[in-house]
Formats: sequence, C-alpha cells, structure tokens
Amino acid sequence: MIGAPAARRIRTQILTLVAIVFAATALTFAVTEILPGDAAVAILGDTATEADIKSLRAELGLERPLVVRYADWLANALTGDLGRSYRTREYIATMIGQRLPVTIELIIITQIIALGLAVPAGIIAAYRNRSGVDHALGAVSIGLLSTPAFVIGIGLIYTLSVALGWFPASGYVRPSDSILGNLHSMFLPALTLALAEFPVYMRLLRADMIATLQQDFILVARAKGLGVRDILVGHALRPSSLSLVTVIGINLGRLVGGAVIIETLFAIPGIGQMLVNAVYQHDHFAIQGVILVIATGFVLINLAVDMAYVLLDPRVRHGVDS
Amino acid sequence: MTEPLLQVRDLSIRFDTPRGLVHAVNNVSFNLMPGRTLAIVGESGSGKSVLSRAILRLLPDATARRSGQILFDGKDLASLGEAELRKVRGKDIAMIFQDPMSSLNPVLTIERQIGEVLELHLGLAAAARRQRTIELLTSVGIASAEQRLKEYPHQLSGGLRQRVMIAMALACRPRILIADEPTTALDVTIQMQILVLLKRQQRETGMSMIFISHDLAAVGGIADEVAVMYGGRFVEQAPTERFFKTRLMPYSEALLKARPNPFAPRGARLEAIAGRPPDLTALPPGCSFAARCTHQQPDCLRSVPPMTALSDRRYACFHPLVSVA
Amino acid sequence: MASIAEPVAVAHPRRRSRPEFGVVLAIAWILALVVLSILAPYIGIQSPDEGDLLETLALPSADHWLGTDSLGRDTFARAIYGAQVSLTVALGSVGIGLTFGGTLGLVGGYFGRWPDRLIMGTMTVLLCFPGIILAIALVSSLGPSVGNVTFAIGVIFIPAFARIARANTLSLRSREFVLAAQSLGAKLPRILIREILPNLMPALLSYAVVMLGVAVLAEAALGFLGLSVRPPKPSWGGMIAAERGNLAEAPHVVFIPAAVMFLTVLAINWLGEATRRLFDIRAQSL
Repeated sequence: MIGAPAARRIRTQILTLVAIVFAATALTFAVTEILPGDAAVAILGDTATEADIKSLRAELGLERPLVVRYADWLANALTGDLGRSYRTREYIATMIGQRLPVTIELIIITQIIALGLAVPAGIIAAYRNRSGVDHALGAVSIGLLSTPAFVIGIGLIYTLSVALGWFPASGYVRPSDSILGNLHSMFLPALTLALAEFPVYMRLLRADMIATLQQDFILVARAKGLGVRDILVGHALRPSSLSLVTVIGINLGRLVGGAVIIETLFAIPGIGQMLVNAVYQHDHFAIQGVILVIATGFVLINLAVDMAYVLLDPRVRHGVDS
Repeated sequence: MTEPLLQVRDLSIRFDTPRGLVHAVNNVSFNLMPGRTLAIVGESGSGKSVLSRAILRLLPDATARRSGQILFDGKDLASLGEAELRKVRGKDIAMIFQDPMSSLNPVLTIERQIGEVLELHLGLAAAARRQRTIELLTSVGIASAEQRLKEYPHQLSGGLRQRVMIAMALACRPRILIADEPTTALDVTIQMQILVLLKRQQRETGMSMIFISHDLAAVGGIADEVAVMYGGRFVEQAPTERFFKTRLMPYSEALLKARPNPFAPRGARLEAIAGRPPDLTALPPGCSFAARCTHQQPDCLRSVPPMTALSDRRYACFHPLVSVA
Repeated sequence: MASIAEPVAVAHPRRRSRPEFGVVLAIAWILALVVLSILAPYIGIQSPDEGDLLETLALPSADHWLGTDSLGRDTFARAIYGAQVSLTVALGSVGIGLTFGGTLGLVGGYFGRWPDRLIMGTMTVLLCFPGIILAIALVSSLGPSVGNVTFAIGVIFIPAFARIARANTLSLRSREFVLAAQSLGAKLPRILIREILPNLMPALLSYAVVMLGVAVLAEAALGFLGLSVRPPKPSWGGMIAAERGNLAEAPHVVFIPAAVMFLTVLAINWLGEATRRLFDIRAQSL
C-alpha cells in the first residue's frame, strides 16, 4: 500500500530522529553541568559543611568527568533506569510514569477542544470570507494571540470559577478516583491551552481552505449539484488539512511548554511541573529524564505526522511529486 | 415543430470589480433543440466561458449580476431557488470543463467522485453505484474499468482523466451537456478521440450539447449549429455547413481566415485580426467589433447592430459580407 | 494584416494613501509606552518600589491612575517600569535572533552541503526543547536579570530566524540576479551582502515584528514563574503572579497590568500584520 519512496523516507526519518534524541540528551547533560547551583548544596541546605558537601558529591558520583557520567546514564536509561531524584530519592522513572499520563491527558483534551473549535471556525471563516463573521473571528484570533496563556487562564478562572463557580480554580482529581471529577478538574487548564492554540489552527485552516475553494474541482462539485456542506466537508476539507496536520505535530512542542505554565497555574501534577521544580532544585537526573521523554515524544510525533501525510494525500503515498 | 429544450432570453452578466463594471455577457439569446449540438466560438474574453457557467448559475453570487431568463423545461433557471437548482445540476444539465487535472479532486478516488453523483441524484445503493460506475467508465472507453475505481486522478493520463470527467457528467443521463473547451488542454491525438466519444454519446442518448471552443476546426465535426461570440454578444449564428460555406459578419470571416493553413504556400503570412478585444468595462456605443473591422462604416459606430434573421441564420451586422436581398 | 498590439496601461490596485486607523492607534500606543519608559525617571512618575500601606488594592483614582497593588505600590508606575523591561527584552532578543539566526540561515542556505547540514542539525536539536524549557534552564542557571532574560529568549529565536533566512536564501540563490553578479566576477561577501541580504530583509523584518510580540509574552511567562527580573523590580508577568491570590476580592489588580500587556502585544501584532501586508505587495510586484 505504501510505495517504496515513502517507506524509505520513513526509515531515514527514524534514524535521523534517534540521532537527534541522543544529541538532545547529551546537550542537556552539558547544559545542566553549567548550572552553577550545586545539587549537593541544594539537598543539604545552607547549613551544610564543606566536608558534608564533598562526601555527598562523591556519593552521588558528581566528581566523575562529564563524559563518564553521560555514558553511565545512557547505559542505565536504555535499560529503563533513569536514576533517582536527588531531592526525594524516588526513582525518576516512577515519577515520570506517574506524571506523564497526566500531561498527556491534558494535551489530548487540549487538542480535542482546540480542533473542535478551530475546524468549524476555519471552515466558516473561509466559506464566508471577508464577511462580518470572518472579521469577528479574525479579531478574536488576534486578541487571543496577544494574550499570554496564563492570563487567559486567570481570566477563565475568574469568570468560570470565582464568579460562576462552575469549575475548580486549581487541583487535580485522579481518574481512578472519579472520571467525571478528573475531566472536571482538567477542563479549565485544557480550555486555557486550547484557546491559546485556537488562533494558529483557525487561521491556517482558513488560509488553506480559501485557496482550495478557488480550485477547479470545487466548481465541478458545485456543477454536480452537491450542497454546501458536502462540498466543504467532503471535498474541500481534506486537501486543506495538510498544513494543519503538520502544525498539530509541531505544535506539541509549544503545548508541552505551555503545559509547564498551565500546570503551575492550576496545580496539575504533570511532567511540566516536575521539570520546573527539577530545574529550581538542580535535580540533574530528573531534568535528564524529562528531557529524554520529551525528545522521544517529539520523535514519535514527527513520525506520526509523516504517516498522517501518507494517509491524507494519496499523491504522497505513491511517491508522486505534487 | 418541437419545443426548444433550452431557451436563453436576453441574458446579461455583469461583474463588480475594482476596475469597474465588467459587461461580460450582453443580451444573449438562443434556443437549443433536443438532440442538437450548438457550438459557441470566440476569442478569449469574448464571454463564452462566463455564458456557459451562467446557465447553471455557477458564477459567484457576490460579484455577478444577472438579468434575463434561462428557460429549461418551462422553468426559469435564473429565478429558481438554490435547492431546486441543485436538483438540475449534474442531473438534467451537466457540465465538463477544460482542464481535467484540476477538475478532479486529487484526494478522492474515481469511484467516489463518480459515485457521489449517482448517490445524490439517483439514490443508488453502494453495490448498484459500483456497477453503474464500471458501466460508465467502460462506455467512455476506459479499459479495465474495475481496477480504475480505486485509483486517484494523478494516476491517470490526461485523456483518461477527461474520459472520467465525461463519465461523471453523463452518469445521470443529462438532457443537456455543456462542454467548456473540453479538448483544449489535451494532446492533438487525444482531442479527436474525445470529440468522437462525445458525438457517439450524444447519438446514443439523444442529449443536446453546448460546445464552447476557440477552435473552429474542432467545432466543424461535432456541431449542428455554430454561434460566434464577440464582446459578450452573439454576432452570428448559422447551421454548421452553411457557416463554413459563407460567413455574413466580418468578424466570423476574420476568425475563419485566422486559422493557420497547413497547405498555404511558403512565406504566406498569418492572417491575424488587427487590434485588441474591447474593454468590457467600457463598451463602445456601436458595434463592438467596428474598431477592428475592415468594412467599418459610420453607422457601425453609432448603434449596436441588432440580430437579424435570414432563413435559418442570424447575424448582427449593418453591412454583412454577402448582400442580402 | 498583423500588427503589434499597442502597449496598454496596467491597472494598479487602488493604493490606500492614508494608513489605516488601527495602525495609527497601534503606533501611538507603542510610542507612548516607549517615551514614557525612557523618560520615567525624569518626569514625575511615582516610585514603583515604595508602597503606601494605607492604600492597598485601590481602584484607579486621581492619585493613582491605575490603582495600587497589595503593597500599596502605584500600578501605573510599576506598569511603566515593567514596560522598560518588556520592551528592552523584546528588542534585544529579536535583535539576537535576527542577527545570529539570520546569518546562520544565510550561510547555510547559500553554501549548502556540510555547513548547511551542520547548522540545520544544530537548529533541529535546539528545537527539540520547548522554548520555555530552554529559557527556564538558561535563566535559572545564569541568574534573573534583564540581560540574561534577553539572552535566553534570543537564543530560542535563533532557530526560527535561521529557518526563514535559509528557506529564502535557497530560493534567491538560483535567481538570475545572483547568477548575473557571479558572472560579473563579484566576490562572495559582496554577493551575500549586496544581492541576497536586501531581498531577505522583507521576510525577516516582518517576521521580526511578529516575534517582538512573542518576546513580550515570553518575558511575561518567565516573570510569572518568577524567572524574570528580581523583585521588587516590576515585570508585567511578575505583577500578575504576585497578585494572583487577590483575584477574588480585587480582580482589577490582576487585570489592569494584564490589560496593559494585552494592549501592547495587540499593538505589536497589528503592526506585524500591516508590515506583512506591505511586504507581500512589494514581493508580488518583484
């Protein structure tokens, strides 16, 4: 089903991206090395003596050369052992295992809401190009783009939580405790991030749709007697969604970054919050572990985006230059 | 005498553009009889494509202003509601376009693109649709039709794609087929095949056809009647044979003469028509061709020559080439 | 008889002679902000650090144009000094991104092969990190200050500018005027600076204007996390974070600084759109 050229592309992608993951983790190791704060000092506190610090550093293996430490970490990582947090002595892998699903859930709900708002809006804005609706959506977009995510969040908290009391201002309910409660506590954080991404998606889809709607085959669809909805959704949407799919993939980077702020604002225990705490506390292994997960995630997302391309556009599937 | 299938009366189309009001089509009237083919020829900018799209009201509502009537089966298409109009499009009146590559949706299969017309207008179920699609593809001369079903437009050659377009248009057995320059974008060898195909389909189904072209040669073999268009107006209309024998309006004459003659002696000049087509935002008060006409007279510049009938021909000229008693 | 058609005057799309109202407003706002923040110490703005504890969480009044915060400090003064930070960071970081990113992209795009792969490889690795993360790491390791925040955000911008510069360079490299210059024996630096760079500028500059807004938002996010300038120096993000607890009783203390920031970024984005449209028209007539 997949032509040879497309399969070859995917194979190259995998190899390149594995290389990138290694480079990213190596770079992080180097960067954390320059963090002037000392992990041992952070653990023992201000009252520690020189001797204590030195012995703790030896115990943690911080005296060894950088390359040795990286190789050691890498070897362990490949077997699933990401070390322990300096601060809490928990296994990093366990911590990530607990927190990653939370962030993933947040991102998934965010994307669903964002696309659920942006796709209809983009279609309508394109179809009713230059009308009042289009201008209104454009104004909303610029407004949202000019507002930082945490302000959107605070705004939502004020209206939907403080004033109306419909949603909690912070806190997280585990799905094992209550699925409804979980969704309830995730709604405002996800809506915040979704509103931040909405303008990007909507404007992209709108632009592509406007271009697609001017193509000949749309005129032909009209000449066949198809109605507006059939034309917009059946004929125009798929060719217009290529850029959107790419951006959804690339955007996940922004979303993880956004998740950091939003998790802090709403007190959601995801890996974003974990990363920020780790950086504050110079918790090297925690930083490394999260970066590894994030970089690997990007690899997989890029791959998925490429696969989606193949599914959406049969010209790519057959290796044809479009 | 049979009733005409399509009656266009005094159709005018104007476009709102930043440069001004473009008078693309001006007071065009004609009748189309059942089973007959009318060819509309003219230069680029003569309004023939706009006219062809106007019949099915495919022009953008925002900028196009219509006046006149388009009577089909006693109903005025110009005043029909959108929902009613959609029942006519693709079913009673179908259209094929110039460029088959851009006219087919690149991300949908052949089966899907033909099938949706069958589903929409005939309400066929999946199995029946598949069957009928294979029949259609075969009838337009596509071999191994069954394999083609799941293919995409980019996997077919230009000629095959145009055949698919024709199959798509004929799917619901339309009574009128509007063909807007269907062979212009194709290789010369394929052009002939497509013309033959169209003629055969017409004979088999008895449908009428409106064939738009700038190429008089293509028109000769397929049309029963020829109408020449210039500056948004019909300037001459005649049965094909009589048209190719004699022309009445100087523009038609010049158009015919302008075709490169492969048998002309060496060094013979190409007969082009001097000047440029008229500015459609500012049409002259008289005959729109007068400025370029070698037979121009003072009264040609004063008023627009009306369409005059002469047995089974019509022409719009104050001083036709052949003196008429 | 054949004749050459006479030349026709090409119809130009009607050019608006007056700039749009929105653009005028946007420029006015930004100018006002810039002027105020430069002149702040010299004109009679109240001190942003000293607070009147009898007048906390006050609504806007004649004494305090934008009200006061929970420590009684004048919000208007703090907003202006916060603007100093935001505008400095924005201009500085975009400058870094434009200069270094643009140069790297130009070099990579023009020379291709291993320099290009090396540069693009580095950019891709940098892009593996969400921008905020990188910024957090850099600022927390270097210490919070205007300079460090500018540097950190500038570093994040480099890959984006590099990509744009590279893409445009690639398409410009094979254009005729470059070939013409080469065939006339022009030396490499001259080609890069006199031929390619001027044609890169429209795309880079319109992107730069948009990024100014992004930089302001990024600095605000860092400020919200406590990673911008050290308190009690004001930064817009920090101001919002500090007053978050009072949201229920005194929402204006949070929303007024937010509004100032919003209007500023809005103005920048508006200008960005106008710049983009301006350069699009120019590009089309090339």
